[in-house]
Amino acid sequence: MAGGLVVRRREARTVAALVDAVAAPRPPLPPVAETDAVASFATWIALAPQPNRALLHAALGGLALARLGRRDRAGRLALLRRLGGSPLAEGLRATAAVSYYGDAGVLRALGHGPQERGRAPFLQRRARTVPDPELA
Amino acid sequence: MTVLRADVCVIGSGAGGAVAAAELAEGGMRVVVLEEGAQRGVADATGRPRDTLPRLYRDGGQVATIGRPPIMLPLGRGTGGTTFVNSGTCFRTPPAVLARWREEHGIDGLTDDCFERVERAIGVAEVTPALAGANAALLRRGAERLGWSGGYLRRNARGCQGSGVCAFGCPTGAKQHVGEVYLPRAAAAGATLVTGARAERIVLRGGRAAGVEAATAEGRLEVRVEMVVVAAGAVHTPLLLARSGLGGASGALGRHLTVHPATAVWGVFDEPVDMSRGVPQSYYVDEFAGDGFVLEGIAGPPDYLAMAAPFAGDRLRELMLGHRHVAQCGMMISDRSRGRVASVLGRPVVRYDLDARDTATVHAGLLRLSELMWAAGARRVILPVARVGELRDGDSGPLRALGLRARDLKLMGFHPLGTARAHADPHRGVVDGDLALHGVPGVHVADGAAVPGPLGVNPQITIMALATRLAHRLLDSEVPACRS
Repeated sequence: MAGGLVVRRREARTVAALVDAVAAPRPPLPPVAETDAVASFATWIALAPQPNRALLHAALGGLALARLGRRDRAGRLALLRRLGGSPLAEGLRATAAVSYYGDAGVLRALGHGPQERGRAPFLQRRARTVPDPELA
Repeated sequence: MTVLRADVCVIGSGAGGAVAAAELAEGGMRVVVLEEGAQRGVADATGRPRDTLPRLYRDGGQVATIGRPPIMLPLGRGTGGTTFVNSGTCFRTPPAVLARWREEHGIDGLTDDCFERVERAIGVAEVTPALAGANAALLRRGAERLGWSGGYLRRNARGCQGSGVCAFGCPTGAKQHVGEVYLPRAAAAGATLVTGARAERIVLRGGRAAGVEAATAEGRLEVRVEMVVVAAGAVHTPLLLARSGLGGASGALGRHLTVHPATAVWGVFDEPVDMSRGVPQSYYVDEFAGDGFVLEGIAGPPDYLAMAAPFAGDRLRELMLGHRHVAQCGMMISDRSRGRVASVLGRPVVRYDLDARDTATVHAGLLRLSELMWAAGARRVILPVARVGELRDGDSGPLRALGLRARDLKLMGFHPLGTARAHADPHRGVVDGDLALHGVPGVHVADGAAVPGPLGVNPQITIMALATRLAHRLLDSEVPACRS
């Protein structure tokens, strides 16, 4: 999609590796590939203000160059820690965490289904991920 | 260019702007409201943090200060402003603050009638213990065991079901944010609301307010008026005034920023807590208000916990698998530190450094929070502190012994205030005690920017009451007394 609204394929692989390291899924939690965490992460980037978006793309590029996807989870977390306690590192961690643990299947696996959220039908709505009409 | 004519142009539709617009329109004035964001409603509130944070918050929820430490500033964007995504906590301005404002800033007339009028409009009532949920019950248990002063919070909600996701937009429409209450009143009284309109400049003619120029998706818009009420929030109001060449003479524009630095701890309990059930912010402890901080329970769904807790990897997974046993409590301080807002390449840049006294206050607050969690029965306490991530077995010693540095902290600032502060002296304030811009007739400020300094409590009622008072002064009327 034009305008950098979605992560590129290579970035998507980096995001998936990042999410996997932060969320550390293991049964009963589903693997990242069975969730929409990467699409959610991409939406977050797409809706970020331009300077932040550029920084996030650069950070993902840097992590790809550092071969994030080829490291084990511990190695990936160590790489993330090398960014220090910076807002960028915390932003990447928090976004990865909420992208994975906000997936409907993950929430169900945690015992937090729609009925748990205020007894309201709103959670039955399908999660909106990119492409987003607001961005058109 | 499209031209609209009215008596008043209100810039922003949050706590200050929506209230001023409704009161002025109902008082007979022709009002145009310019809102930069979109129309917001229940349909926008999915209750899922990952979907709503980037959409309902300004800049995707990524506004942060530059300084030590960087502080996230979650600001709403759209009709209702931050009231659409806040926790709904309602405190009146503390009497000591009102007294200081009268004596030092020339702000008077913020009477009980102003507060009652607002509280009645937005349905302020104390949350019931049943609705507050187990997170609040645990905090109450801890506070009572320690003999600390506290209570259930007052909130603006009608028919609340305890959905547990206030900060992500109320999914049932129970929260009585100003977009729900005041904007429809303004519209019913004839006001025009223009969304997607970014105010670029206040226009003067003959040395007084004459209009506002705005950019919209459809092109340029000019609203020709005799009065302008600026309510774009403490980050954007000073930038708009500066772009318009206004408010700079005092030297206070964009300065004196306070944010009520806030943070939270998490307690892990043997018993189930289910903090996603109930009103997230529903119990407070004011025992230490005199020491400069208050404790407020805050909670949310599991995905919120994943985002907020300072864990990654196996520790995060273990925490999440046990999320039902996690409770949370927050704190905020009345900051003495001061920051500033400036424009760099047209974007706001917020500089704020937590000074040593405030760092010590946060340290004291974190120790009290862990004490509260231990008293409530927590087995572990998770901290937002880089060098002491966790406490165990009732032992706060590692945190107490820590030489806490500002940069060790993970903070948020929910209440930016003071960047166009009110002061009777034009050399010390951008607006006077009546919120009128010094030296330029017809321009007023009715948002957190005008609030001169930290309140020590959540500020939405203060801002709404100030906007109520301003509107009635512009109408040359008294704020009507509420009759029960």
